[in-house]
Amino acid sequence: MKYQRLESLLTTSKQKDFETNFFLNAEQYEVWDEIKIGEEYEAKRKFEVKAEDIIAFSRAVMDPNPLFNDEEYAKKTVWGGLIAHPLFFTAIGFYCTELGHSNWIRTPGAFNPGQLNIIYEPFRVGDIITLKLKSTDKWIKRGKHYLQYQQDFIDQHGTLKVRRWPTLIVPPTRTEMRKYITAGMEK
Amino acid sequence: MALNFEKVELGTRLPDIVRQVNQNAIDRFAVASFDYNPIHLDLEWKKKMDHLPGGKSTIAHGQMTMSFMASVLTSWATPVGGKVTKIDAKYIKPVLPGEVITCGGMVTEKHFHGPGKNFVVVEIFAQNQNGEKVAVGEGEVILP
Repeated sequence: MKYQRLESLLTTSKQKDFETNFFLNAEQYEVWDEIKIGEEYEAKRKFEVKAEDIIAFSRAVMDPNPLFNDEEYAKKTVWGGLIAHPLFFTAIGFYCTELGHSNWIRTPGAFNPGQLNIIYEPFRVGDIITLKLKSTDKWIKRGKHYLQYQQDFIDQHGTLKVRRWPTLIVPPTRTEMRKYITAGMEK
Repeated sequence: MALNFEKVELGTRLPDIVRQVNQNAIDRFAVASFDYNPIHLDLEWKKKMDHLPGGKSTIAHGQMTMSFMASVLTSWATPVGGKVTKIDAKYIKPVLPGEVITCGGMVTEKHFHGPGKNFVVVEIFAQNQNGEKVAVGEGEVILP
């Protein structure tokens, strides 16, 4: 594990299995000046939603809402069971794009200017989510390079749960990105 | 009076929520979100990359701040079966470890689409302990 202090915080099976060092394999990350707009992909990895995933996320955002934390309580409500916090798609997005397209979201040096997210249905235990990706825009504003994809989160029944447009400010070239990676690999 | 679309008024203020952000909270969000970007976690790296937001400090995930803003909406609406359908936010100022973030919202629009589809627009914000806005945006919530 890259950051030893985080080891005691891992609680779910997916967390324990995930590569946490974003500098590792960074040479394979997509870069702003190489990305073509309009291309579509499907993330290699799917996300099967378990109760432990939903509860871990709601605890991390310090939300005590029992709908997100207490299975027995949630069963007795109009929702019929646990539902995930609205921002749970963040976990699915990063987990599914560890390998392959859209891995630029892991770029050391990238930072987040804001996001638009449309939520059609909450995520629930038992959902098996496929993440579909489309490169939608890249632009320069005030000297910063922005990159945007469309992410569609689709369950095993073909229902679109969330559509969003993650946008990050990123290093514009591979040469620039390498400066951030080198600094992270130095001891 | 139970919250419902018919009775909610424009200008209604949603209850604020307050969250203490420290490095441990940022660490926990990294683990839960699988976002291990060093800008949030690696102080030694960040000191070398101090031209990035936050200077020589790590910063909280923008998605964590947005999560707090979303919690304002869900705390208000989900107990009556309301559903959050849109969150759109812009980050204005980085959130640093040690800051206390207050989030709130106000109903600004009512949209009449029929039973089960009527929704309100809520202007949402997050501000730090100095009263400085760190994020602004809006959410949409279907109310029964």
